[in-house]
Amino acid sequence: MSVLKIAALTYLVFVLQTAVAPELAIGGAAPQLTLLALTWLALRCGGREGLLWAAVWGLLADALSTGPLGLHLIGFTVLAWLLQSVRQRGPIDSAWQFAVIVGGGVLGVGAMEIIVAQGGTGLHDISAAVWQRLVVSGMYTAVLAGGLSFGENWFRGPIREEHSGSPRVSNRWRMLTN
Amino acid sequence: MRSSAAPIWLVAVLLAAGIGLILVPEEIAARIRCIVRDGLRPGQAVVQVGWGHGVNLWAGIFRRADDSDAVREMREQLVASESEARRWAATAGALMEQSAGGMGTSTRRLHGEGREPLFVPQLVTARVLGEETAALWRGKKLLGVGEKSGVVESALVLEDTRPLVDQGAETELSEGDAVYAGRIVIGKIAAVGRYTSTLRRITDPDYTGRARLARRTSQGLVFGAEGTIFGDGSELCGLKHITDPVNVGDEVYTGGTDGVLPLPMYYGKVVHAELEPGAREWTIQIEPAAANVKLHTVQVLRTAINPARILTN
Repeated sequence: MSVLKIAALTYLVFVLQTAVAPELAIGGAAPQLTLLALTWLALRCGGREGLLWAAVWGLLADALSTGPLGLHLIGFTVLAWLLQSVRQRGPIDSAWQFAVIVGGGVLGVGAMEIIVAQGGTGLHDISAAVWQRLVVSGMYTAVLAGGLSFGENWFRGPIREEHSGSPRVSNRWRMLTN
Repeated sequence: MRSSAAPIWLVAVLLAAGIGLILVPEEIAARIRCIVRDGLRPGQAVVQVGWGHGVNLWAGIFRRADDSDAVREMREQLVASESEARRWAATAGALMEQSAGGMGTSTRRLHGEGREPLFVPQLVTARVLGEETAALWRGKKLLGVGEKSGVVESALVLEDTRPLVDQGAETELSEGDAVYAGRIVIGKIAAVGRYTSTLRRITDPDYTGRARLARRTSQGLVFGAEGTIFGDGSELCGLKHITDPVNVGDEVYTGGTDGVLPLPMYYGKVVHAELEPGAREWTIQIEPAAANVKLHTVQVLRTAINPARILTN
């Protein structure tokens, strides 16, 4: 994907996360559109490009939250690197696989936020309502991701890695061997 | 050939950068936050308008005409009437207090008494653009006004119920004591950028403000003891430093005015008041009136130099 397209996607995702996602909240748990889109992007952009964009998104998420700068940058970078490692083991073709990965990402990043907010101490002081909201947010985002992935598969086919499959063989080579 | 994962050294560099950012001074972090929020403002404004039209269209398809329109209009008139009644009650209560010699440590002067005041209050209308990206707890609301509109940190943010006479008028700026007296306090401005700012609600853990108790009597609204209102992240607010008797149902208004803003604004009602054995101060919980206010637009209270004083001087 070109840099311009990813930049436009970045702007759109963060506008939707701040302006629309709170309106879609269920029981105080809003869908994490940023993490959903980050997962989609990390599975498409491999290597350094994907990781750098994850870091940029993390920094933007830090700027739009009340926590310290750098927290989401670390979380998004680790998440993108893990996604790239998972993708190396095999393609992510189905909607439910994508949904599970997105839900796991929301739970992981959310747990990191909770632990850092408590300063690593007094974890027992965190109310059950906060954990409940995290789980609801994760499930909500996972269902949304599954639905969007299903829709994408319906129209365009399964999610594929850009460079997967056997290398292309030119017709000239085939003609020579035949 | 599958795409490879990023090299591990790049991961380490980015993690180190993240740790370094945690150590960045708060002033620089605040500046970065303001730049990002200001940058998102145009997109948020467009999306908010589109979302509003979409919601109205959806509601228009499924609601019955005539009956629900009349009910909605009556509901809006009721809210505006309540706001108007509270404004008059607060103004009358403040007048009575001043004529009785005043209470508390500050001297209050009402607008129009003697010489023109140096500062006049103004209300700036602000659209609510969205919310911070907090995953687990309510983030601060993002407002579409900033330094350019004269908004400063800790400015009070009030609900946007227009007086009956103003309904239908599309004004960005309202002036005078009457427009803020008795209004519901939503919160305060937390951080100010050039074009945007964030709202700290009165229920947020880091909200504090001066507040006064008031009771409705046969003689009107009578103001009582002054204390400190604070939020704790729950649906209710607390009020501390009150040693005088308190009743459930007492009203809570802003306090601690310095003569610039002599008329009080409304926080909510006392829903729990208890004096524990051996304690000097009451344990008081307040149900904020702001909990029932839909936040599409709000009004930010600011003070400006009175043009009349500049001309006369």
